Amino acid sequence: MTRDLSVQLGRLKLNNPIITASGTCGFGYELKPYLDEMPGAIVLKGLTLEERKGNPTPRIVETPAGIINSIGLQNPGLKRFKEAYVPKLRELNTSLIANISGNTVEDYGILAEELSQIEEIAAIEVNISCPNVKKGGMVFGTDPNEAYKVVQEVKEKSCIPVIAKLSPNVTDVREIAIAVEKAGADAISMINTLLGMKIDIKKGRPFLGNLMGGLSGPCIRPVAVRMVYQTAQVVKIPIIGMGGLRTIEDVIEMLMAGATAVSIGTGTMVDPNLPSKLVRELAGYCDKNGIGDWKSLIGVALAK
Amino acid sequence: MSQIHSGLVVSKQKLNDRYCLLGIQSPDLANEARSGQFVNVEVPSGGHDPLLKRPFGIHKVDHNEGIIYILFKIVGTGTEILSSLEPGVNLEVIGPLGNGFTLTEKQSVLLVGGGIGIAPLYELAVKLSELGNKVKLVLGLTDEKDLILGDIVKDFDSELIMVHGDKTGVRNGLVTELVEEAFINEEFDQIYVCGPNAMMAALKKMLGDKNKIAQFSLEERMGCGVGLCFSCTCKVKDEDATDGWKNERVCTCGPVFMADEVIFDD
Repeated sequence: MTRDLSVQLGRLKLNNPIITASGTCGFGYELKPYLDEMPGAIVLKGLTLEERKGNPTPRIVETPAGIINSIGLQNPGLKRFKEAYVPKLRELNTSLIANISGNTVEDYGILAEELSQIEEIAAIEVNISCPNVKKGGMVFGTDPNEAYKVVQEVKEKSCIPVIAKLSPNVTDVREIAIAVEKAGADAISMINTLLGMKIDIKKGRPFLGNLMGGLSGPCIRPVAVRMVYQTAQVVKIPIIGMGGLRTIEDVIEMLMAGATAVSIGTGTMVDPNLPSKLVRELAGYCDKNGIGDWKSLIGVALAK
Repeated sequence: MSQIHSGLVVSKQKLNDRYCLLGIQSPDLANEARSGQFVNVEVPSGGHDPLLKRPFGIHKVDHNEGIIYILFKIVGTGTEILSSLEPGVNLEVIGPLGNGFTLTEKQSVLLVGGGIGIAPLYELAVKLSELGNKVKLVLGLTDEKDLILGDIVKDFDSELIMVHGDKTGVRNGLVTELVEEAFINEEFDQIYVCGPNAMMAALKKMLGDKNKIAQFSLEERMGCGVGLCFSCTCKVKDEDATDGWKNERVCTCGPVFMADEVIFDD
């Protein structure tokens, strides 16, 4: 493949704009056997300072054109991640982005400081939008002041690019986007899952062990496209667009809405080879449609 | 990609309105499959519903023809679509996945199934017999419609028991009773179990020391089936953890766990 698909996300340069979303690609090495073309980046499973065992099962349920999950940030914690997982990351031949969550602003700072010193980690994604944990997570992502504080702390403590992952569970996502840009975020990724619920009508109770969870998949794509479109008009930093993307046409739509790169989440769970397919198909789409540089598609649908 | 196969549906047999047997031809898959492993099968919906693939234990392997069989209960949209397929359809199949059972040789083994849990035990019984083991199989059923599962294992030294229904000639009760009786009459070197969680929890309580020689194939609602999403976890012992346990992925660390490792909540 001779076509150059590389892209600059602020200080972060990726080989191509297809990224795998946190929580849907394990710690990367689980997905590697299914990838014949490496995505531009892999965003690792969310990390916290201490180990988290996650939520009770069932943790996943299907809904129309989507799934609701309530994993609850199960992860080994920072210390064991460094000891047992970082060595496994070395064979992943792409940019790796660590995803962090904390109970407090200080937690985020410690995680950022330590992770930014790991050679294998190219950037940090700040999760201020997880709907599945009681403390932290989404609390920081639904208040512009809190979002500002977290991102500012992470920026201060880390020397690598910082991406703020925004929650759609807000009245106006633009307020949060403006706040994290002011705090120094190098990029924004959006959207995380929408808080949702399914009730088992045979048992008359919520289906998921944790009662509620995060809705993802094609059903949320129009919401994601709308939010990226709105946000792209009020911030200058690049946006990583995600939410139910499954085909190259979905990717093109997201780019046109104003995203500079895209993430694949639920789509990877359905087909672990999908990120590779989309890398190939982006080049193919451009060839077929006489597009010289795919980056010319970014934001073409934005109000001029 | 090595584990993603295009499988051709070569046979479909609806055993009754509850169970379906599907033959999928994929020589690579058939060649690699081991007892107790599973496959993640595309549900061809032509759209986004349902979205996820469906995991099924490998029921039977025809090595000559390169066919794997899945036997499943029709419980929802996904399995309904799969049970309505006709031969000739191609499905994306990921597998074989998971660890599979650890096989014994020239020993005396007891296989314990609950309902559709018999699906992977059939292939296991075939393999264990080939390896010179003395195989005994006990199977717990719910009602008369489940009798069809008993037919599948009738060539083995097998016993059935049923929760409901008394006109069938099959004894009424729970599979744990058959296990208890089996141990009165003989000793077993290894026990292989697949069934609903409640059955396995009851067995675990009953087996005591014998949990060390029991392999449980667990079932949990899966997302990706390949270790990416952490949806399908179960509780297992962890000596390093302060409270002695951790959540482990059933898809990649299982689906087979030693019974003494697994923790069932009451």
